[in-house]
Amino acid sequence: MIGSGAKIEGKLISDEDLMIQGQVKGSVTAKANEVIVGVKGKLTADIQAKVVKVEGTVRGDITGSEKVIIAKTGNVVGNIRAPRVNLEDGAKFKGSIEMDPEDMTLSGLQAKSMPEPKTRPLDIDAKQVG
Amino acid sequence: MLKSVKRASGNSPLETVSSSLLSTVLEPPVEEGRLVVLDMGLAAPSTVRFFNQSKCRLHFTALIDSELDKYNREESSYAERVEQFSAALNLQSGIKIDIFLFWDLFCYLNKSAIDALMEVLSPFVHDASRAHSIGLLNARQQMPFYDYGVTSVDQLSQYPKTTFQPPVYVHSRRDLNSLLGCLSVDKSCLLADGRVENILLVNR
Repeated sequence: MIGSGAKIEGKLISDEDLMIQGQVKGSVTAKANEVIVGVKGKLTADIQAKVVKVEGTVRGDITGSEKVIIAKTGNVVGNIRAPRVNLEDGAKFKGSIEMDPEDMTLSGLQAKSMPEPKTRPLDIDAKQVG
Repeated sequence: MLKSVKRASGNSPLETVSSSLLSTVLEPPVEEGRLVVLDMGLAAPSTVRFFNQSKCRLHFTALIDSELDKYNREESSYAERVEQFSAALNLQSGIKIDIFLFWDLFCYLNKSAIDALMEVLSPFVHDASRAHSIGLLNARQQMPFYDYGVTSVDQLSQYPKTTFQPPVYVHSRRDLNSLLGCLSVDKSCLLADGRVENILLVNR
C-alpha cells in the first residue's frame, strides 16, 4: 500500500500486489501481480502487471498480461495493451487499446512489452513501502 | 445551416438504438492481422466490450469532446487547421485504419474544418476502409447530444452528454460527399430523433 501522502519518483518494482493511493512519477512494475491505482492515486507513469485496475488517474501506458480494468472513477490518458480490457460506465479513457484475447501469457507480455520509460532508476521494494 | 442548442445538465442512463447500417461497417472480416478502429469520441464501455473478443487496436481520439471551436474559426488558414487536427489525432505514421467511427463529429465542424480533417486522415485510409457517421435529416431537426458506442452489430449505445453542446452544422449528403475526399456516403438510413446514419466507403 502506498498511502495518499506518499510521492514517489522513479522505478517502482514489486513482487506482490500493490495498492497505490499516492502519487507516482516514473514506472510501476509487478509482472506477476495486481496493481490497483486507488481513487486518490495519481500516476504519471507506465504500469506493467498481471492485472491493473485504475480507480484514480493515470497518464501513461498500461500493460496487463491478464486484464486491465478502468473503474467508473478512473481517468486514463495513454495506451493500454492487454488480452482483455474492461471499462466501467463512467470511466474516462483517451488513447489506444490493443487487445489480443489469444495472447494471455506472461511470456507474451514480456515479449511484447513496451520500451522502458526514461526515468531515473530508483528501485523500491513494495514491502518496505507498505 | 448552423443551429445552437443549450443542453441541460444531469446524468441519464445509457440508451440503445437499432442500427440498420452498422453491420456493414463491423462485419466484413479483416483478412490478416489486427483490426484497427479509429473512434472520434471518448471510449464507450460498450465499444470496448464489443471488440473485447477481437484481435484489435482501438484508438479513441476524444476529438468530439475537445474544444471544437478552434477548428471552425473563420480566421484560421487551411494549413493551421490541418496542423491542429494532426496534433489532436496524433496517429502513428504508416498505420492503416479499417473502421472509422465518426459518430456525429461532422455535425460540429464547418465545411473548412471537415476538409482539413479529411486531408489529415487520407493517408490512413486503405481500399477496404469503411466508416460510420451520424447526421441530421434536415435543418429543422435538433441534434440530440450524445456520446455514442457500439453495443452489437445492429445496435448503437448512446450516452446523453452533460456538457454544453457546440453549434450544429447541417451538411447535406451532396455537401458531405464533396468534403470527404477519398470517402463518400454509400448508404443512409433513418435513426430516431430526426437523425440519419451514414455508411462511408472508399471511392473507387
